Amino acid sequence: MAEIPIVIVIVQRGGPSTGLPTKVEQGELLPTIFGAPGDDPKIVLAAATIEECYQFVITARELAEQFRGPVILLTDANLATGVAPFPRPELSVESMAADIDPSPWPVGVPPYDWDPDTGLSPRPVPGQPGGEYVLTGLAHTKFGKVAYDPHANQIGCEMRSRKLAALRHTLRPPVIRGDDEGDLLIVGWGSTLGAIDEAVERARGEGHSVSSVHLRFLSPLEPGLTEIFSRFRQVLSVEINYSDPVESPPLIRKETRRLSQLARLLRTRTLVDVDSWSNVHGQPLRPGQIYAEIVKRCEALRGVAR
Amino acid sequence: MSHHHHHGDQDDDLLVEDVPRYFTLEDYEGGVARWCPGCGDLAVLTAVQKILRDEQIPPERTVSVSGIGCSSRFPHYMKTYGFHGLHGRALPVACGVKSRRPDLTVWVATGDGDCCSIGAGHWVHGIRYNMDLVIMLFDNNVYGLTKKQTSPTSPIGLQTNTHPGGAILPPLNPIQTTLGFTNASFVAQTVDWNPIHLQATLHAAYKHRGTGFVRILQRCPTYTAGVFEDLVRDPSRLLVLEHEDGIPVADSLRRIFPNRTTHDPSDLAAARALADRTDYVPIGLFFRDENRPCYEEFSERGLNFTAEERLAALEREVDRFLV
Ligand SMILES: Cc1ncc(C[n+]2csc(CCOP(=O)(O)OP(=O)(O)O)c2C)c(N)n1
Ligand code: SF4
Ligand SMILES: [Mg+2]
Repeated sequence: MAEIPIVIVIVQRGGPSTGLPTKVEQGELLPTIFGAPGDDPKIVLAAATIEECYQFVITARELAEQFRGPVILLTDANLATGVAPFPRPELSVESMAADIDPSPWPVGVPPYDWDPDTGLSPRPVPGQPGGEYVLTGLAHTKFGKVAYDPHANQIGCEMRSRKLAALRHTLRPPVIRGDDEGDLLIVGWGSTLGAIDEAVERARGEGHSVSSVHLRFLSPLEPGLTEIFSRFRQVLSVEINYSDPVESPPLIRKETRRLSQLARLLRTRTLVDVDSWSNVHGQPLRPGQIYAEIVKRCEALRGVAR
Repeated sequence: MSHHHHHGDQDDDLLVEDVPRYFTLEDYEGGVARWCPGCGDLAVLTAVQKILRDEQIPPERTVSVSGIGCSSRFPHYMKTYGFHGLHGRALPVACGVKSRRPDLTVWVATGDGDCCSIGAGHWVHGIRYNMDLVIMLFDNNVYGLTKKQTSPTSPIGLQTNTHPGGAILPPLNPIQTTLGFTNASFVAQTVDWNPIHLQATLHAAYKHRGTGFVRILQRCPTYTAGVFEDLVRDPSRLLVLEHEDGIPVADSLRRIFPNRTTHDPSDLAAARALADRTDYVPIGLFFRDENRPCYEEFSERGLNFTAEERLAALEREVDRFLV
């Protein structure tokens, strides 16, 4: 568990396995957040637009250095192969990595001097006299030594978990598109932003009580979700990864139906009965499809007495 | 979210810079080595520490990188920067360090399992990248850390936990293999039980511009006690390669090793023929070419840019996308 800053960009394509190699899917959300041996908290964010693909790389680099660990940026085949004009980005020296500081490492400071509240610690960089330490993929103590005693791994895991808590503390709740409360809330992430927005606008224009939020931070999750969800009668994730269709054969029942990935994540965090609508056609979601699902659900919700 | 230390603003830092530093062996000695008594790994550790001391390389400018295995514990016993990473992945990490920090000295410790089984793909490409680092292949013909499984270099018949009836395939010869990789630039073989030859070989690998690949026949008294016994007991089983461009052979070595041959390390075909020999085990420098391309020549570009220069380069990139 080396705790070194690294930015990893995952451009998702269709699965499972080699699946639909050149087609789009958002199937790597849960593997990205959880796919590792043992506990491995990492920062995961997803770009929703081509412009964000640019900006988020800078954000990811800053977070990786500040939090001394991996940051994974999720994009997908839609964003990677799409073209969209956006205003020329304002570049600055501040948005680039600082030069390496070769000055001596302070005497007596261990290489993982975890702050007990935030888990953060400054990082000795090779070349800094006095900072010589060994990074190990094994569990380690704050001195960078292999953790042989049972407590060392417990403490290391707690400290890394605190980093996510610290980042979460600085995040803002997502912006709600539409009213703050109503019948249906759509939750999306990644490249489906445009399609969801268009569908929601159209349905709202026809008087349906629907709003949407689009998440950028998936790990840690943006705050305030439980509270936002509580103001809607139904919460629905819309994404491009597998879920059992609602009309499934008899052995799949409501309580055993496998939901899409964001829905599962949101349920564990909020304890809200989030539903999901998704498919794995390998194609971008079209606004018309989402619109039809919104109308169907809103009409059903209207038919149910409050 | 405060970083509670600001390094670099201590007054005595400046003093440290001004005092000329002299490094002793102790300056390179990390934790107490936890290898078995008689393990050949210790001799390699000592040789590297002596080379660093002789060359007066500051500990902070040295990085030792390893994978997983007994031999990969190497970085923990050095008082330098170190990376003890993932099984088979020492070379990608080492190349990564070197690509952005060509100013650092990089030593890779890898086992016959680490390098020749799980890390074999990285071995091919690490050699081809030919970055300026030393690869020390600790070859004890077995997976030591996991307590005796067959490795690619295990001799036929070696009884292991994975082949209780004896290893069945002919062992891979890492020298033959490496000499076959495109862009190999330094390929040598030595033994842990002759500290003079060991140190001279590692020193030559360190001095080489490019990847210095050294296979070290390494004794593991715990799991492969027998495999090098003949060679240790009977030095005439070894064939010492001599040449003015090769590994220096001290007079004391000449007295020990009766069988020596002149081999010009610029001759790749002859090197390959030597590697094929089964009558003797050759030690020394098989091949060296200082003029092979090194990946640093590419990866170093832009490292010396100031922030303003990098910004200007970025602006030029953005210009290309203007509509
Ligand atoms: C990915 C992975 N696979 C398997 C292992 C188990 N493992 C640890 S060390 C080792 C082999 C070590 O053999 P070698 O590289 O020859 O090193 P030695 O111990 O002999 O020095 C194996 C298979 C592991 N740690 N990680
Ligand atoms: S098992 Fe073998 S290789 Fe490992 S430390 Fe012991 S003697 Fe050395
Ligand atoms: Mg081995």
